[in-house]
Amino acid sequence: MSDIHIHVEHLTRVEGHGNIVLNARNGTIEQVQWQVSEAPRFFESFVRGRPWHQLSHITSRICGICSIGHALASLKATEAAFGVAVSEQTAVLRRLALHAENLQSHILHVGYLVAPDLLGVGSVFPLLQSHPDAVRKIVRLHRLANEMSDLLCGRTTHPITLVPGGFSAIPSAKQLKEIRQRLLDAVPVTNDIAQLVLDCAGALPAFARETEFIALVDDDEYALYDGMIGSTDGGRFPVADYASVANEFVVPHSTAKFTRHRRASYMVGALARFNLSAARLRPMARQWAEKFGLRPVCHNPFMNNVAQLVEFVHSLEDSVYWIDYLLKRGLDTAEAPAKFKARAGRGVGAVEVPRGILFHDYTYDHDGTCERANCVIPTNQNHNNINQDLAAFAPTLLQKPEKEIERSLEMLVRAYDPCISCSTHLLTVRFVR
Amino acid sequence: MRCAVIGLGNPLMGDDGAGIAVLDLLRDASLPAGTALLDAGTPGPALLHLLDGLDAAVLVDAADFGGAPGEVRAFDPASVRRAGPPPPGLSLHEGDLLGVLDTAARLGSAPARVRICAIQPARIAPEPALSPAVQAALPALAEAAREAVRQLTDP
Repeated sequence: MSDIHIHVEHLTRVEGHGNIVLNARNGTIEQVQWQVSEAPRFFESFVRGRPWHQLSHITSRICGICSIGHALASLKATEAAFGVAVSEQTAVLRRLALHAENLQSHILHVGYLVAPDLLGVGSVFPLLQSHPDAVRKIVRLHRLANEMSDLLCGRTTHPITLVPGGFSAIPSAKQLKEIRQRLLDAVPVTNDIAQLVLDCAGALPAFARETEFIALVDDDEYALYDGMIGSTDGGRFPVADYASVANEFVVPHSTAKFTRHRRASYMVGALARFNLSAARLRPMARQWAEKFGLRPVCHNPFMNNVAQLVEFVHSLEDSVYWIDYLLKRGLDTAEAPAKFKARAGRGVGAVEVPRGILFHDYTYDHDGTCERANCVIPTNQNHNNINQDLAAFAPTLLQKPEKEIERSLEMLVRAYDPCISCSTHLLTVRFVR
Repeated sequence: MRCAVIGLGNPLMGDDGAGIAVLDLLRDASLPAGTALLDAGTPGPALLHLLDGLDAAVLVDAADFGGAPGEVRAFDPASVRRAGPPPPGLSLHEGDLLGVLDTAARLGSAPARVRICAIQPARIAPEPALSPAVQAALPALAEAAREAVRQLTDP
């Protein structure tokens, strides 16, 4: 058997920079590794010495895709530190903002980045020739998601209306009704895209490796905005205890920290949420999961793409539910953010963002100046699981041509939808072995 | 006719922010009434949404066309070829103006008339300011954008 040397430097169609290395000699794998080469970002240092009202705006800049999620995790951490309770209306509007971001991110990933793999082309551009109608529909859904973010957050990315205690501007009932109608109109368009993916879902490798899945869980809903930390290996943990779930550690080949909980690694993201909360999906989303044969607990990481699609449908349905709820109970567009006083303390905030569970942890001094910050980003929590998956997946591929091995390994990493730029954040660069 | 001047770039990356900085010079009354000024930043594929529904678009951006720093060129996107290989796809981290314009054309959502006003950067690197050469050339870039709007909206 010939030797195999694969080095994919700067894997494409992911956000940021990472490398895949595979070396095999005489059919035996000598090295298989997921390397994160992106430069560290230092956001946790930027916020030290900054006043509380700046933190959500600074940390939302960690990511151009999940900026709403970062803003919300940040606000929840600050509110937890100061003992602030937000109104029911604020909590509902924040749920809608998270749905808008989930819609934005999932359609970008499934439509622009994954569909080309499934349809056997190198990028979205050849799709324009083979499936122009599908691309038109993907663009339309992406636009709706962007405009919904704009309506709730005052901008498509990097929200400005989300502030500690509430909202600085609230959409009108008329605007909410308009977006509600557009969400309903998007259902048949989404069904067409889901059907297209279903028709080529056979291209998703039938690979499975048992792992632990971690996500927010709640008895009453498919948890995105609030909940406790749940694990498919059992147990529920308060968000404040996140550090003993994530157990961050450093490896020499990565500028991003790795994590582990009960096993060698764990996975977060749409598949983790589905595995923990499938029973609480809205009806159409559940139907699509059934059509794809997606059932909890699913250990095939490639099915994360399908779980994203299922969540896209859920976000459409759940958004309509919450808009109806708000309109029925009466929308107060003049509601001011909750009043509070900054004080010394520590607070942890967690939300589910498109790529998984996100934690922000801040310590403030008596006048609300940030003394210490820690942000644990979903892709960080997935790096270790990606590495373990590559190690298990690569041996099943060795009989194939090198190009095909490379493509399969790339597809595996892309299935995680990694946002590498967000995940690199070594605060102190010191390797303790 | 719906016409927009769309500024592109990242003001935190030195001269890449020229397309945004020039918008301030265009906020006087020198453009025909109804011309929209859009700060698009680094929109990636979302530029498709901004182009959709326009009859004419003037895109202002920093571009490396081998000129002297601060040199301004206005051109039709069909008249240029990409130097080097195209980025592998549409993503937020791999902006590709020509790819997005091509995509819009294939989807049937591109404005009928498009012009790119480009300025040659001196330095694209993390820095929240323009280089002296590009700063000094901003009025010329603004004038190129005005001229492009005149040409595109001339019946």
